[in-house]
Amino acid sequence: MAGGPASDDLDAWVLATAPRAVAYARSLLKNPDDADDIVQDCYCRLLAKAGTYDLPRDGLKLLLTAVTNACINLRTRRRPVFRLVRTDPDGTEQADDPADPGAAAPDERLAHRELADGIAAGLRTLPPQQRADLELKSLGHTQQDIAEILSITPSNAGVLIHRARHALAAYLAPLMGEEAPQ
Amino acid sequence: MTANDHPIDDAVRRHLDAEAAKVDARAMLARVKAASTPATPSGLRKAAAIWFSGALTGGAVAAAVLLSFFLNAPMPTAQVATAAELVEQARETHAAPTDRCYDVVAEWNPDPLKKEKLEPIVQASRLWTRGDQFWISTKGQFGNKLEWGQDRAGKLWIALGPKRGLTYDPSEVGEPVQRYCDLMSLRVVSTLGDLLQGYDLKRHEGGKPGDPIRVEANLRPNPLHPNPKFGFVGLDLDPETKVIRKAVLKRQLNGETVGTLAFTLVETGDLPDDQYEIRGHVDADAVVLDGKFPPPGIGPAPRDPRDRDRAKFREDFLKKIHGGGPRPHWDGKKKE
Repeated sequence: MAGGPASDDLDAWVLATAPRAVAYARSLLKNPDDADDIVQDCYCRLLAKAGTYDLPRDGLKLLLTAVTNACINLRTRRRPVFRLVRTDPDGTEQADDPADPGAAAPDERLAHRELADGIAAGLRTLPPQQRADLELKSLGHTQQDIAEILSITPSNAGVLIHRARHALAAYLAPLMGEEAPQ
Repeated sequence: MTANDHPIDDAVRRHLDAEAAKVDARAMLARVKAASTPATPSGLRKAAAIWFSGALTGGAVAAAVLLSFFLNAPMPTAQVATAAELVEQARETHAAPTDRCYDVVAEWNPDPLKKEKLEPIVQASRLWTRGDQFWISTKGQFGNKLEWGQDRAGKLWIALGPKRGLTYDPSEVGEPVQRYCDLMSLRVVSTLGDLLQGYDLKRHEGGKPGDPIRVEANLRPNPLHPNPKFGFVGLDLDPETKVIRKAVLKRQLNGETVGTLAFTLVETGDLPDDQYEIRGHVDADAVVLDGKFPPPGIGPAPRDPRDRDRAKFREDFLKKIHGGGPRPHWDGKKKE
C-alpha cells in the first residue's frame, strides 16, 4: 500500500465529495444523467492517478476543475445544434444568447412559488461560466481558487461573480417582493 | 475557503446543500468502481490496484480471480487520440461561441515582406476570438490605440479611435489594409480545418498529467495550393477541453516565411456580441466609411468625397500600425 492512499481513504473521499460534485455538475447541465456520467468519469480518471495526487487532501479542487471543464466542454460541443435554429427570417444569423435556452421564460417566474425553485430556475438563466463561478463562490472557494478551477484570471472571476449575483438578484426580486437591483 | 457574507451566495449555498442531500453517494461510488475496472490502462495498474484490492478485501474468491485476470492479463491499451483527432476536437471546441483572449507577439522578417511591398508592423497585440470572428487591440508605434477585426459576415472593420472607422467588404481583397490585417489575424476554426486538410500532423506528449498536449503541423506540399498561409503551426492544447493554450504560426506569403506569430491564451471571457463589430468600438455618431459608393452613371463619375476620406483614414491606419519599436505596455483592460 506504500506510495498511495489506502482504499478505505479513497472510498471515504468519494463518499464525502460525491454529493457536492454531483449537485454541482447537475446544476451546470440540464441532463442529470449527463452530469452523473461526467462525475463518474472524472472520479475514474482521478482515482487512476491516486498514486500521484493526495486526493483526500487536494482532490475536491481537482475534481471540481475536471467536472467544470467536462461540463462546459460538453455544452460547447452541443451548442452549434442550437445555433442552427437561431437564424432570422431574413437569413441573417443572430448571436447566440449566452443564457441557457432551457431556462424559464419571464412569465414562468410567477409559477415558482417556492424561493428554492426560483433559485434553481434563476441559476439556469445564467451563462454556464457565471453559474459555475457563483456556485463555487457560494461553496466558499476563494477568488484565486475559482480562477484556477475555471482557467480564468482572478479579476475575471470577480467580474463574473458580480454579474451573476446581480442577474440572480434581479431574477429573484419579484419572488422576494423587492425591486430589481439597478 | 471563506465564509459567505453575501445574501445571494447564502441562498445559492442553501440550494446546493439541498441538491447535494438528494445525491446517493454510495451509488456513485459503486458506479465508479464498476466503470474503472475494465478500462484501467496498463500504466496505471499500480495506483488502481491499491484501490481495487482494498475494495475487494473480503470478497468472493471468484472476484479475486477476476481482479487477478484484469491485473495480469495483457490489458487493452487506453485509446489515445491521434493528432488529427485532437485538432478536430479543438476545432469543435473553438467553433462554440466562447470568447477567448490571446496575447500575440510577432517577429517579422523584413526582406520577404519587402518583396511583397509590405513593411513590418506592430509586434504586440491582443486578440479576442469567438469561432471565426476576431478583433484585435493593438498600439501603434506612437502609443495610439487601434482596434480592428472581422465580423460574422467576414467584413473587416477598423476603429481609428471613437469617432472614425473603416469597413472592407471581403471582395476588396487587394486592399493593403486587408493584407496587413490578414497577416496578424487568427481565424481559429478555419485554420484548424486547414491543418486537417493539408498538413502532416504529429502529437507530442506532455511531461506530466495535466500538461498541454502539443500538436505540430508541417505543411504538405500541394501544387493545387501553392500559396498556403502557414508553413508550420505548433499548438499546445488543454488536455481536458482541447482549447488552444498556445499557438506558434509561421506565416507565409508566396512560399516565403514573412513572420512568426505566437499566441498565448490569457483569458476566457463573456463579451457582448457587438465587440466583434465596429459598433462596439466607436461612438454612435462616428464616421464609418465603407466601400459602397454610388453606382457609376454614364461617362466618368465625379469622385465621391467619401473615397478621398476613406483613403485618408486608410493612410492614417497604415501609418499607425507600421513600426517595430519597443513593445507597447498593456493595461489589460477591455472595453465593456
